[in-house]
Amino acid sequence: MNNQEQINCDLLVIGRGFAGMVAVDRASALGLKTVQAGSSSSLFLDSGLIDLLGVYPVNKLRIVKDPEVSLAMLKTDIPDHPYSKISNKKLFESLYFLFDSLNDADLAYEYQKGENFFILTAAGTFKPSFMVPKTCLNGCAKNLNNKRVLFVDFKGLKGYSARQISNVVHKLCPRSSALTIEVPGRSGDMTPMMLAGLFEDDQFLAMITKIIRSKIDNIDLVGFPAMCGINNSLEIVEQIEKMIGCACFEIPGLPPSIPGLRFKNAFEKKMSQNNVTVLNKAKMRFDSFKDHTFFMTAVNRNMNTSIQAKGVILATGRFQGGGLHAKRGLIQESIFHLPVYQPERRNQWYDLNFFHPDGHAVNQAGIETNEMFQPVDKKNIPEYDNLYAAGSILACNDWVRLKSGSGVSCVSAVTAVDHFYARLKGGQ
Amino acid sequence: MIEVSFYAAIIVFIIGAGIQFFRLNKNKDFSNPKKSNRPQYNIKGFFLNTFLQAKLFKAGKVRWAVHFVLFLSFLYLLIVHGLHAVTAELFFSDYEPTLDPFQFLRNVSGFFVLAAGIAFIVRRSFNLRINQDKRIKIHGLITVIVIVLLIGSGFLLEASKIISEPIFMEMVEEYSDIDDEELIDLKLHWKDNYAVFFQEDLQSAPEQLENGQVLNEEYCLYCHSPIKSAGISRAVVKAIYSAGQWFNVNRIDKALYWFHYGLCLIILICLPFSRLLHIFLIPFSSSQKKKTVHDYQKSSVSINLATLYACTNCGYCSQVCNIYPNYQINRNPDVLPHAKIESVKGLLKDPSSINKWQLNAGNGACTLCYKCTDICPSGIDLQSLWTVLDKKLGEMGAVDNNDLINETSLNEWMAKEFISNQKIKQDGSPNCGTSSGNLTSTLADRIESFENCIQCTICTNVCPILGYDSNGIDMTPHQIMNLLRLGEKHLATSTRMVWSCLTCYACQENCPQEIQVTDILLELRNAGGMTADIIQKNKLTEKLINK
Amino acid sequence: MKQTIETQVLIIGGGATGTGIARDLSLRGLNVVLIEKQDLNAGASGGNHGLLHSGARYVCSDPEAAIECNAEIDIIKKTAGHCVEETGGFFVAVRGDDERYIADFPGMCEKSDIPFKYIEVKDARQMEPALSPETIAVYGVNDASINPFKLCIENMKDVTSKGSLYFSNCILESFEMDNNQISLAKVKNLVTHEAFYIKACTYVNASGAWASQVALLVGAPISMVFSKGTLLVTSKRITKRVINRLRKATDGDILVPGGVVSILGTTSVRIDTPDNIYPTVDEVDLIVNEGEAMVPSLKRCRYVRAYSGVRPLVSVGEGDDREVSRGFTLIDHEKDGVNNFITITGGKLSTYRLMAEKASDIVCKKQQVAGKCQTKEIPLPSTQSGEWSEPTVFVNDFRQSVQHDPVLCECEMVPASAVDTIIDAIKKDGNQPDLNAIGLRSRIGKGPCQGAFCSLRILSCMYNAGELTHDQGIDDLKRFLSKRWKGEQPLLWGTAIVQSSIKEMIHCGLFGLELETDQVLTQILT
Repeated sequence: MNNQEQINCDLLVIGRGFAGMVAVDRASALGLKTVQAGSSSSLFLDSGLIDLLGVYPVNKLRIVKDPEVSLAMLKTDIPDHPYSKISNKKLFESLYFLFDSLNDADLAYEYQKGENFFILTAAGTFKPSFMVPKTCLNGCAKNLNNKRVLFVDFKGLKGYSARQISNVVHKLCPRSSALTIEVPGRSGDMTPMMLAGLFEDDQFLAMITKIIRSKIDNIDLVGFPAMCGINNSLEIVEQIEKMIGCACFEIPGLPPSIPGLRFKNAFEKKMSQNNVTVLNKAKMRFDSFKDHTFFMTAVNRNMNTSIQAKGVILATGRFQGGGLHAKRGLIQESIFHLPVYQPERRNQWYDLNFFHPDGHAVNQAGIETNEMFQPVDKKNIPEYDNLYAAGSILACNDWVRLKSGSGVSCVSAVTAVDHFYARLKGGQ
Repeated sequence: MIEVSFYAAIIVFIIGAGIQFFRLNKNKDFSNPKKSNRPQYNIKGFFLNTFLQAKLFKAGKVRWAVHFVLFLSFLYLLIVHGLHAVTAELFFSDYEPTLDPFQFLRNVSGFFVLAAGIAFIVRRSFNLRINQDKRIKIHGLITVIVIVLLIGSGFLLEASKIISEPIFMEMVEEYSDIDDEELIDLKLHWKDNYAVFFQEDLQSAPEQLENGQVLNEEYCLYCHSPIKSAGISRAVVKAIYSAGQWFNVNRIDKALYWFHYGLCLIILICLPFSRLLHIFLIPFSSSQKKKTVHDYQKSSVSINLATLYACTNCGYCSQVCNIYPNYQINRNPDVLPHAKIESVKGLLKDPSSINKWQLNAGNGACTLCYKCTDICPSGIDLQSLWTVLDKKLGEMGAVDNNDLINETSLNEWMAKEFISNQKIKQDGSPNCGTSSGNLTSTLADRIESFENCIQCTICTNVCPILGYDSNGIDMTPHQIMNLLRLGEKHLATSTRMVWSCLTCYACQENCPQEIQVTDILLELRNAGGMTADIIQKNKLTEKLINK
Repeated sequence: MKQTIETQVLIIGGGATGTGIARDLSLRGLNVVLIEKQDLNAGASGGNHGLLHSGARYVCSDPEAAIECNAEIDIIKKTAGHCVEETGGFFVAVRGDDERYIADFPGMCEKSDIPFKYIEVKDARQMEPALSPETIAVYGVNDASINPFKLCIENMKDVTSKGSLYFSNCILESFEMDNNQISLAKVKNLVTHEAFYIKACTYVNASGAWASQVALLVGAPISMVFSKGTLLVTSKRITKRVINRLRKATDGDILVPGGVVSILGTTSVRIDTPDNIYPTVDEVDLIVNEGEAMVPSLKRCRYVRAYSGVRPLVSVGEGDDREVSRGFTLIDHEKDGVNNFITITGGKLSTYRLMAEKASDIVCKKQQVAGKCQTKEIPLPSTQSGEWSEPTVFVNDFRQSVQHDPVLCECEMVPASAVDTIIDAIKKDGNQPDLNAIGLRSRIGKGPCQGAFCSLRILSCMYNAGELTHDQGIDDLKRFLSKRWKGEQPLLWGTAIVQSSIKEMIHCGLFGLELETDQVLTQILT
């Protein structure tokens, strides 16, 4: 079975992660005929928090309270960082576009101008983030301070302990407590997906709220693992709040993460509304570039699809997404074989200390681009017209340490699509 | 002589048909015995499918065209040419084999049968169809080859008769009273116009030819159309003309006649036992009443097993089969309807000759999607067959593997590893998951297929079975990948996950590391079938000993 | 004066030698105390191949060691069979290897009386399909693999069951001398920072690479060189047998199967101090490049971890440290003016029992006890505490189990019940359970995820069981991940780099563990 199909489009977005999804969304909003192709989306591993800039400077381990102030510092310190290629106006515009877009897909987020939230995680630590799901909002440090918080976990849910969270946040809220709920009829392991499914069941909600009400008096807040329903989480959390009679929130933890899945579902819903062609589990092969057109083939187990596109957004991610492939000694870009900025030798990739404040040099690796996010060669000349890179594949962007993953992805994806759009319209 | 042999053949045919009928009837209890309502018939289906092969038309236009041409042509040859002794009297009183249009039509239909037959042979031997059983393939090939031989010998026979001097002489003697001189003129005419091969060297003069033509008109023409209309035979004549003397002296035409006639009788005798039986059984199966969805839900689903012999092993059913990917992974031919139907036939003949767990596993994977039943050109009610087969296999002691796994303790299961490994090595059959020729069947043995697992547990999270009944599952998909890495393939085959997998492919679709999770699970199930078989046999033996 | 523990013998060092001596002496009826500054097998005893040498490797360089090995391997197989996997071994030469060495090998084996068997290359490749097609000669020998962790845990368990004591995380601070005799040892607990004293009749220095540091406390100089060897662990077992390169001993020439994995090594790098050693990228590359000549799949297979050990070699010599005798060194410090102190160091895992026997003989002689060595005859009991360190799968009849036993470490299939058993055992010895201690006694963190997922699962269980309070667990987690990281960082490429990216995403990206929890709070709240 090797059927050949052919698709023509304006824009081909390679990658099904955060940047790829935002790029497709933006392109459809601009009315471009868009195709998305790539391996299975790993958004299921995404925490669901949209960070802008959480720690800066990284080696001083300084938490960012006002991202605008730190952004200004970052732009002067690291001229190669993706943020340094965009004006602040454009940057926030992009984020607000995402905010509206998610709202459109019934996924409610919240942000505050000039301030980060500090969201409680399943380890009991706090993570700075710019735009957060409304369901997590009550779990930010400001709201927890000195409150009587009840942390709830479920028997069989591995790697999430209410007692652990309650212990670790002891300093912030010493009167917190923990409760483990055993779900009747479920004796085995409980996966996040199972629990999220249970939360969509009214009987289950009645059961847990009854336990919570009966066991504990005088609580201000209740924290659940971030598994309160797969799709209409906000409604569910509000329903629980009504049933218990106090505020509730979700705590993001170990992947697979349900907030990440909600992201994926929201984007996919929008894509189907916008008639975007999606080629899942497709390995992309670059055939040629002629007359400002990319000729590519999406190779699937059963089918090859040839795609002609006027522009390509490369949002294949770093090692985890498969955009960069690390051989023993050399990092390569998987599809176009673009030059990859990387440490000279493999013994410089990683520091001996996992938690070294500087971060690991290999995390600076990636594709270097110009201001328009076009990958460039050593002489700063674009490799191909209308090829753009977005997301974590971009060089000089240690998003794990800067806590800026989704922000960089969103901002670079929107900007790249806009540049392509301007060029396409200008050319006609 | 001819008549005697013909009637003898007819008698043998009737006996054969009787035996077959008895056999099919004997196995009637295979279908549901509680059948109470009277059989109902589908007249429209009978006519459409018998005479127009409507279902085949629906399935494949080209194949229908070839088959239909063959069908019509053969029918013509059989009725007008083969049985002319009977039919000529009834329908065409002026029938003469050497007269047009009979001569022409015979050649044309012979040509069509030959062409279609050769097309069949080419397709059967070169076109790679899904898992064609070698024996069935050869069986089918022989059938078509015999038909092609029959037609071929017919043409050769006609050609040899055309060039035959002895026949010419016999005819002259019987139908004319010409003298020697005139005979030479007639010979000259026939040599030129009818391509008869004469031994003597005939010198022709224009007036002799003219005279010959007159004689021909007088004595021969009312029985002999010009051989121009016997297109194919004329071509054959050209080919054999140089060997004319040998043909004539040895009376090859007579030998060919017996050969041709003999083939007819052989075909007749073999008919009840060959796949050509479908000629009679397709009308029968097509005339069975069509079942509705409602009927299939009833517990009293039944099928007349005679309809199984309407199967021509064309393979359309397997091409549309919903669980074809299942076969791609585990290489269990009994997943595919067209192979499964052969196993059922085998089961009817000799239950011990069939690997029951394999059949049970294959039939168990069937989703009863109705696609095979819908497409079957022979109009066999496959859907009912699979339903009945499921029950029958249960009655015959082919335990549902899923139950068996649950009843077997892990220790017992693990103890069988060595034996099942050995067994795999011995018969090396392609469906045991270790065939080296097939790459997809060794996923669970190759580290590359699972070592990229990064423990993200997405597969486990998206698994609908775990969502539905987590308590019934002992190991989750990602844990099974880990078991494989730890070298515990055999242990993995005993997990409930492997046996409960729906093959919905959600895990594989969502794996960020491109691991073929579902394919591996399927393959493990197949490998486990081996062990299940051994354990079950042991249990049966124990029971026997205890008795 | 603080607490003083009295005993007959104080053993310093919890490696194979130390635990071996402890068992030997306790079988002779002596009461011993063993102190270890980290935990069992923290030094070379945990940083080796886990190979029981048939001796064939030393037939050319050190025939004496070869004979010793050959004798010991049978005894260990007999007495500690549950720690040994009788894999058998191959010596394999590939095209381009020294022909003369290959030709001499059988003769040298015969001379040392080492059993060997010539094997046709074709047959050998059938028995071990992973062998290189360039293989030119193969000899079969009696090599076996041993689980050194299980060995030491079981040895120690046997000792403590006879009333002797084991202290982990306790470092020897100083000796008090009295008239050419050590009268008292001052010991400090590195976790609680409390000091205590141990008074013994005889003091045995079995601290391996740290032997010279310990001996220096009584002013006895031992001239030692340290040679670091690095080994790689593959994610799946590659061969059934031990595969040795048939050539003069050098880098990356032994592949030892250990349960479900294979271990490839090693290197030899001269270092100044035995502390803070870690495998480097260059060593990893060297080992992989050398190993692939023998077994080509080593080039593309996935590695899960690297680790290093230090060979303590008592010698002064030029050239490769492997040429220094692998035989052990037993020093009676009477010559240095200390009568009740002996040092034993060097040697190999294969001869640990012999070393313990010889050392114990001297101890008995010094104490004038007429004990006879019994480790040759009395088998090492198999207890539960050692079994979880075994690199094999432990699956109960999961289909029959009534009580759900969640699998905490999914890479290596370690269930919660095992972790509970281990925590109990650690607590019974009076030590504090933490992730590293659990990791040492089980397969946790040793699979492909290198602790990314299991660490949190175990941590939450420990919190739920009340083993941890406040933010102790966060520090514990960081220590555990840091320790795992040392072995992970030099071999990150291909899938391993994907795995480590996820690890960093979880632990740094989401949980922000690189930040100090307290500091974050203060920064947030101000």
